[in-house]
Amino acid sequence: MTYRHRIDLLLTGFFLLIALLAIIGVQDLPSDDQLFPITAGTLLLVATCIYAFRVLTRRHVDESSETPTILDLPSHEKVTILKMIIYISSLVLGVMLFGHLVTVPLFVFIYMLAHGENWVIAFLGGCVMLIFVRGILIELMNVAMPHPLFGNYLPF
Amino acid sequence: MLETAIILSAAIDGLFQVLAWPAFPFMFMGVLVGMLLGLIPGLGGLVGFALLIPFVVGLDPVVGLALLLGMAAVTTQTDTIPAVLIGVPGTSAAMATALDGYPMAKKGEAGRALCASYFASIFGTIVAAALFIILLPFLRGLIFSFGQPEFFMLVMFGLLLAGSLAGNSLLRGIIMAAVGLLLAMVSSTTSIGEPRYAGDIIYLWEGIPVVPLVLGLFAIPEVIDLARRGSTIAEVAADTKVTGMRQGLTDNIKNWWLVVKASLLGALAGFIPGLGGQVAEWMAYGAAVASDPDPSSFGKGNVRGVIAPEAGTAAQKPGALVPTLAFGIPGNVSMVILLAVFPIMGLVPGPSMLNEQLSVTFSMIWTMVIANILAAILALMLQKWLIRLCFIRASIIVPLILGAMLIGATMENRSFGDVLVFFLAGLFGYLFKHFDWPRVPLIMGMIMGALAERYLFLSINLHGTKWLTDRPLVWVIAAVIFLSIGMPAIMRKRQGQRTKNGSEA
Repeated sequence: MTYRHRIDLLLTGFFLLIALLAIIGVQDLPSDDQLFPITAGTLLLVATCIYAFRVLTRRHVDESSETPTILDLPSHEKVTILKMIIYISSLVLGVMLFGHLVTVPLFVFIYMLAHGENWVIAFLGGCVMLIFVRGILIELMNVAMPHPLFGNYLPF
Repeated sequence: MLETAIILSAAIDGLFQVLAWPAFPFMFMGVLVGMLLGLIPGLGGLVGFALLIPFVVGLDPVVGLALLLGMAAVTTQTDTIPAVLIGVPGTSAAMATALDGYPMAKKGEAGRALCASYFASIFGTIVAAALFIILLPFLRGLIFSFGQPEFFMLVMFGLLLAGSLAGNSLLRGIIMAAVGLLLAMVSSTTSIGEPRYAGDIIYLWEGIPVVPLVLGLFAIPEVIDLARRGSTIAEVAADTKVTGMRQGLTDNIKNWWLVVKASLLGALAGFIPGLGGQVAEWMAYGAAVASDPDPSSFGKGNVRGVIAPEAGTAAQKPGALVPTLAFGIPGNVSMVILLAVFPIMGLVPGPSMLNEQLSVTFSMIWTMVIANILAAILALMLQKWLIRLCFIRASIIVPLILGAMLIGATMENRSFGDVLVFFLAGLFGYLFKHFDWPRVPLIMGMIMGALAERYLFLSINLHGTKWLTDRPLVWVIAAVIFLSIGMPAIMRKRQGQRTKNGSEA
């Protein structure tokens, strides 16, 4: 069984679970509110069962089923993907903890430095984002940014 | 007569609104952003929406739409520059253009190819806009004869088309559409006001927000792949010789029928939910090859291979506006974002867009036409400098785009829930993209789920079971659904049977 088939099965199992939970999750609601979710849930249930059967019986689901996937990439490219996911996770976490104003310019600066850019370019990149968030969005357009978790403890 | 007067008056109103202050400068800003994004391979209209959404908050609808559509209209115009000059399409919608554009550049006809593509884009948009005006009286008549049952069937039709046309597998398309429908069911707007699938999470009571979901699903995978590719594009030698500009215009005039045909095909691809710019350009390219006396010249630098896909892609965008505005069914993924932004600007898609808000609708069409003309002029003037932007390193673009996207994603609700949705959607989006699970049906299901449920609820409550039996239009749409979904499968089976019989004989 190829990586593609395994991932396909994993996703199919996940969707099957969603279908079952969707059908069970509306049982306490009036029939008007059940009708559409149960229809969509049943459609998902039937389609995932047929799809899982086709994958398990190794029928060709389509012409792309044998093409290489990201899991077949060279290891250095896989590392880049993993690093990117870590970068995005840190950005998301940073924004939730410290807000856009601090995290986004800092992220731009660190990312550029970590990827071999000159520190002047990295600094300019950070400044561009700072001007974008503080100058244009907050000051000029009065856009209200979400309040971060540590917002009350920051001096701005 | 009165109908024509109403349409003409709205068209003129719409034109003046776009040319007035401050809509025009905002459109110009959108054009500049769109041109830059089109140039950089891997980026496109979706990233542009993420960058510009923060700016439309609180703007007048015409001004906000001028900014967004000005950007969206031109990404496929400048994507031709890298496609022709270095053989790397700026967006996926310029792949066919690169087939003949790059060989033309190698023959020293880069200027001719680029100029031909710019004029084809302008003409493509104009043809699609003209088609919209011609179809408008019919559309207005049609939409006002529709009741809730017909709208329900139409939404289901759009969804099934999106599920069956996007991606390689019908089953995966249907699964993703059903997941989208279920995601749309998360809300507190049940008949008894009790949250459905949302539990105690107040953030979900208003439903899952569309903007962070779409940006996560579509834009994060592009950015990750851009980072993965790194600086490969900088290794390609650029041939930036630009000569024969006038020839490009003459080529369009000589091949006017091809331009019209490709534009009509592009507009048609825009009408059909789930088909995007890529399908439009290949349909148009296919038509050019099929109608040429020397099909073998394609791929070797035939200017018709540049004109047709560019006209098709440009016409697809105004085409996609039709189902989006008239029925609330997004013609492509960019239109999904546009629909999500509509409430921020106080607009509601549907009959009102073809009636009370007709001038706003026309302002959108005019924006696309004028933006294309502006972009062509700017591209002709700045071409030598614009090409340098293709070589900006990924290590500079990626963090800037990621930061701006994250800000754009939080603008719908200004909540950190949006940040989480954006992140999770990005992870799933990357998985879906690389394992060929189509994302378009999911997002279409998500947009159309709430609509479909509302129409079904009203149909049953207003008409009982008669909504299925007593309404001929419902039957007509049901027949169209059957024909468009069932017939290709039946024909494939018959063809397979015939081939089998033939080989046995």
